Amino acid sequence: MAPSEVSGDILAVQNGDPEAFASLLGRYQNRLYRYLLRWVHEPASAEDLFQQTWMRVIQNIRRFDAKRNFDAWLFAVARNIAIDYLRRRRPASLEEPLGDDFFLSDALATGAPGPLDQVLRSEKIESVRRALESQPPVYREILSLRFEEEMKLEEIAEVLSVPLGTVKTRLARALERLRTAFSCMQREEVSS
Amino acid sequence: MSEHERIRTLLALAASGDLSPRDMRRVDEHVARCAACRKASDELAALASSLRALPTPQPPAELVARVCRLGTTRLELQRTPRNGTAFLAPLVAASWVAALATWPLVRAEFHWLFGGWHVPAGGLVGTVGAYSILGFVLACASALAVGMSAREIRRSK
Repeated sequence: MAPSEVSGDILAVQNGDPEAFASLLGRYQNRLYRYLLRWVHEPASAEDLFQQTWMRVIQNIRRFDAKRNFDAWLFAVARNIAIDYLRRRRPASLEEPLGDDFFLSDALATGAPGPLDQVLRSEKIESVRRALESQPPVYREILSLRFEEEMKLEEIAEVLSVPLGTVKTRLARALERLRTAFSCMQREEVSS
Repeated sequence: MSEHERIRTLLALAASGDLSPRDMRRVDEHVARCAACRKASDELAALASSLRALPTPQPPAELVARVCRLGTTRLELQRTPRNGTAFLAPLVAASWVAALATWPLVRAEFHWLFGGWHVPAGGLVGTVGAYSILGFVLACASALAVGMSAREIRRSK
């Protein structure tokens, strides 16, 4: 869907059009659910937050300026809801300490495509997913926004309400931490 | 900070494709002659690629259907007060016109009631004031009726 179509849907939702809302929901449902799942892990909680996010969107949609970036606004709404939820549930979970650095093995090296390589690649992706889930929410979030949502750094800064420099620092740290976690997992799998 | 250390801080952003062309050139030049940074750079690039390839979890269909239903209801509820407001303005105006038009009749019919409330002949300010009071009362009654009607609609949903 082109950005102008999204803008059209937003204007229609602002005027109370249910069909436009259904279209907007269909457009963003997978991305939003994935983003929330990266925050909270559990599907049941993600589902609850997904519903809350859309209700909040409807509540505030009239105040949204259709010339602004809807993606950034939507994800910022979801983010606030997820943070509130995590603060209520696990107040310490948003500020977990950084780990020590390790060097990653050659487990990430890609070989020529073949059935075995495909199996290895899917196993590798599963390991990356587990390594991602082992990260604190602030790092999971920025990795998800950059690599899964394919957002630009400026958009991420808008979602997080932080300066561009902070986004760069956090992204670099998150990727380095993920490399460390993945490395540890690979070592454990080799030793076990 | 040595050049090696400076480049180390840029490797992650190089892997995510977020470096300026100038910084990217610096990284490439350094990586070409530093085995440790090349290894780290390859690993980070492979991780970035894997993150992009992660499967997208789908929300359950019943959840999407429920949110769609709830959203539709909420949008209709939000629309109701606006319809009420749009309806209210002409109603209030009509009340005023009705009050002004019927006031002489009301006064003539119920002179016993308004006997003690004498509006002096030619007293324009007093007459308009009296009309205004009646119009205000009728407008309030109209607003109350519209408000109650809107509330009934909301309750019925």
